[in-house]
Amino acid sequence: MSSKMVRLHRVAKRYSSQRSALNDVSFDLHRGEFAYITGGNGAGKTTLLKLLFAMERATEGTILVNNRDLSIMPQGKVYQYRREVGFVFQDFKLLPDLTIYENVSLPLEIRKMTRQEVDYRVRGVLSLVGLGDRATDFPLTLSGGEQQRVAIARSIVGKPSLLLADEPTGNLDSRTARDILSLFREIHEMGTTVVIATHDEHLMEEFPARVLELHSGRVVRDKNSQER
Amino acid sequence: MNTRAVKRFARDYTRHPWLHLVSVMTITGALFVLGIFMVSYHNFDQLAAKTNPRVTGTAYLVDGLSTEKVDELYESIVLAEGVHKAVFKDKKQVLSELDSVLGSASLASVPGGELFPDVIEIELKENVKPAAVEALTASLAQKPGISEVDFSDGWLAQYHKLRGILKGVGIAMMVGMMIACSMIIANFMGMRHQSRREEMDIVQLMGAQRSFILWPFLWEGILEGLLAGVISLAALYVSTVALSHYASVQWSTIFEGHKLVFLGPVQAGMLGCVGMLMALGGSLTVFFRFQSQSK
Repeated sequence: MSSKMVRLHRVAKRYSSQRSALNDVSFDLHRGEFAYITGGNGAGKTTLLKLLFAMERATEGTILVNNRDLSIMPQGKVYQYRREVGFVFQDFKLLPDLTIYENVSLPLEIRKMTRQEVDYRVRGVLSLVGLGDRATDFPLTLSGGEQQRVAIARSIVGKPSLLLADEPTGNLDSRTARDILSLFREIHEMGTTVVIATHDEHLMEEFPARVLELHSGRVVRDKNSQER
Repeated sequence: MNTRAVKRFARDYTRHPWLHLVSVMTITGALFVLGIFMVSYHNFDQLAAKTNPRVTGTAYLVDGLSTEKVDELYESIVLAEGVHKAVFKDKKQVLSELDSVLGSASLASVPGGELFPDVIEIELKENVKPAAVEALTASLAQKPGISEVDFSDGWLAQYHKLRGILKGVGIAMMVGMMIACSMIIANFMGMRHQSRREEMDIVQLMGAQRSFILWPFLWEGILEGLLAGVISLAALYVSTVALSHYASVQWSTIFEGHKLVFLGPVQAGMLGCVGMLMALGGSLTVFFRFQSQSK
């Protein structure tokens, strides 16, 4: 199996003839790599993550994730692909009517896992994110940082090989943001490929990793942590 | 059975009991109104069937027929399709009946009264159709020994026509009610499920297939429709019994012993199924509307 987890080749995404979100983007990510996608507002970070999560399709070029070409993937196969990839949203996207436990167990319910396996996995990830004692609480009773932890727990409970996060610290104070990034580090150390879209330079300095900088939809800098 | 979907529905039910109760009551209300139409129509139909009088007619015989020939004709009339019974009356009998009706103005004393023929009076079965009467008239008129056949069937065609019109109007009103109720239910469910829009989007992003999202909606529709069907049938039954009792006391002269009847098992089952279908239709409409809007 190739050591490359993600391969983008001359990817472009255009919403109209005037509006282009990504242009000629090419890069590879190795299995187990940790990378930041950075850039200012409108640089194309979120679009890139949406393409990687198959929420949108590239207008041009090819995107290979785990040797699967997302640009030609039939719509009916997208749901299977999404089960292999975790996604953490800036606004958490937790279901307020479900408890923390139920929110985290949802991806496993979708996969029709047994109750024992669900329980084992959910309790495991909840203790990993430090919320083992809040399983029966509802999301709205948690702080922003705790809600983001729940969202991370939900994204990793299915043991994804690739974890994508869109501005996961955007709504959090600096101390909570550091805690969340430490958590991503921990998850990365367990062998998961992690891609985080952020514009928080302090965090990137504190937790150095490869940085792909976008500007007007193009990669203008690709810097490994060793080069910093 | 998709137990996970039922569990998810049950979980939602316990967390938002009032919301579901309002939903069930909306369907119940719609079914109750539809049920009133059905009971009214059912009773009208029953009443119409009761008042359906039998068609009678007369076959005038040729003068001078032998007894054997008259017996033969009588047999053939009695055995004809649609005939309930037949009675042979000779001219004397006919005249004596006229005597009893007309008294001193009897035709027996009038010149030409002796021209009255022997007759066979025919009474047809219930619910005989105008076309059948026409066919019977034609077949009897061709028989040798019968000079003329006359059925008082002009009113029958009018009666059937009126019944047909009323039946059509009744069915059209019921269909209209059903469509209106379905729309009310779909809109109500739409409002309720609007809150689930985000849930559906999030679940899809986590890799859920259509069926995972669809099943709780289906179960919700089926169970709420079923519950609403049972409640509305019970309410309808109680209302029918109460109204029947009230009518028998207050309007006894109008109803003349006719008691209001409740729907038969098939009709009651139909109403329950309509409830389920309406709720299911509402759920599915909302589901497909959301599906077409989400990525």
